[in-house]
Amino acid sequence: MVGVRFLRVNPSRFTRVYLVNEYSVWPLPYSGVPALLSGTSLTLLTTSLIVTIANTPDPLSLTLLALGILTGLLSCGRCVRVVDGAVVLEYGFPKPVIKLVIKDVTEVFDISELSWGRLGRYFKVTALPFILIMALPIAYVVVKGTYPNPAYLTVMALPLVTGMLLVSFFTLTSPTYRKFIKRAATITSVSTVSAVAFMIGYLYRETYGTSILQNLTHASVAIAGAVLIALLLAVATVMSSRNHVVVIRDSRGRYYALGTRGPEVAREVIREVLNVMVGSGRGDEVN
Amino acid sequence: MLKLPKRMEEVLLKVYGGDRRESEVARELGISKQAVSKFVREGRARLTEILIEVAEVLQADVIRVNPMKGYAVLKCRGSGVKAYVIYVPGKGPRVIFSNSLELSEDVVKAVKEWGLVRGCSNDLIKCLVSTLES
Repeated sequence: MVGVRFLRVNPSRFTRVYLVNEYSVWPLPYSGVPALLSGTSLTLLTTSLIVTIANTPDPLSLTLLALGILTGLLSCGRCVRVVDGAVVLEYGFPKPVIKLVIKDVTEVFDISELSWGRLGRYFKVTALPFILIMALPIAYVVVKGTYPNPAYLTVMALPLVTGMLLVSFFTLTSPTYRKFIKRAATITSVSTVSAVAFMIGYLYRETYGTSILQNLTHASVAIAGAVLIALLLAVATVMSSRNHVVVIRDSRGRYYALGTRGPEVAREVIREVLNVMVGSGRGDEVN
Repeated sequence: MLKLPKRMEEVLLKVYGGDRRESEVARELGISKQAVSKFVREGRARLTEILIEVAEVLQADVIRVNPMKGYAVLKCRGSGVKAYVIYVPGKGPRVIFSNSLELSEDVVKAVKEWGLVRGCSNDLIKCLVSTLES
């Protein structure tokens, strides 16, 4: 057994509960209420960013930020349990508050191992907020009718990069996404330090008549945006090259996703879910 | 024996292969809906067991199991070659390796019965692999 610990809890009450190691396996917010909350969180955080750029931090942007963080924490996948022949997914941080119980599992697969496996096929609605957050910065420019301060360009690009990374994660197959993300990371890091930095400096001078470096706040915002984009790409590269996504389907045709640290943990999880499938058909306890 | 009882196979094929309601199948076979539900539930579990047993024999890891459509996708531990297991009604599971994709007549008949290549008229193998791998 690699990386996954199945702890037996409460053995005296004829109830077998296995706690899957939360650091190796975690539920992903791609279905049900967690998907709704995570989509809302992304949208609120992006809106808060745009409102901040438009009006400088005000009560509205701070409220949106707080709500975005709250919904994000609520949709955080905490742990996966196998309880009496059902797979239970728990969401919420620091304490799990949402539970999804998958009683009748009919299919399980490691989508990262399938040659043509695309998450978007199973979680279409989940991908909608990703498109929305890409549209928000463009909507800001259209609605306001003016271009933002050049110093904010990298920060404005954050939702676009995040949305693009998430949309491609959902629409590309796992091997294609890995290739894509490596190329995107290289291209973006090179272009950020050269072309974009030059462009921002030039535009700033054109607009304000001084160097961006003379205004510490504006320079910090531009650098922070670039650093965050680089961080996002680095995280996406590491996550996509290491983690696998296991998808579970129940008898009502609903799909659920689990993130696993590596292919071996994914196989271990599949083995456990298969035990649930075999046990539920026999009407006995899962072994 | 790596085979399902005949009645169980028949019910599974009608419900999942034919995409029909359990009540319809119950009427057609002249049995109660509860009996069909029981056959379906037990059939899925038994078929999963059969597919796991094949994986163990091949010393392969399970990548995908779908007892509703009678198949599994495996990855051989040593070579990394993928193997597709199709349950052929009346005969048991048949294995196709990804490096030598050839379908025997009984497998072709089975994939059609399970509804795995529905709406596909040209390249049957490509169509099947696309269904199993997507």
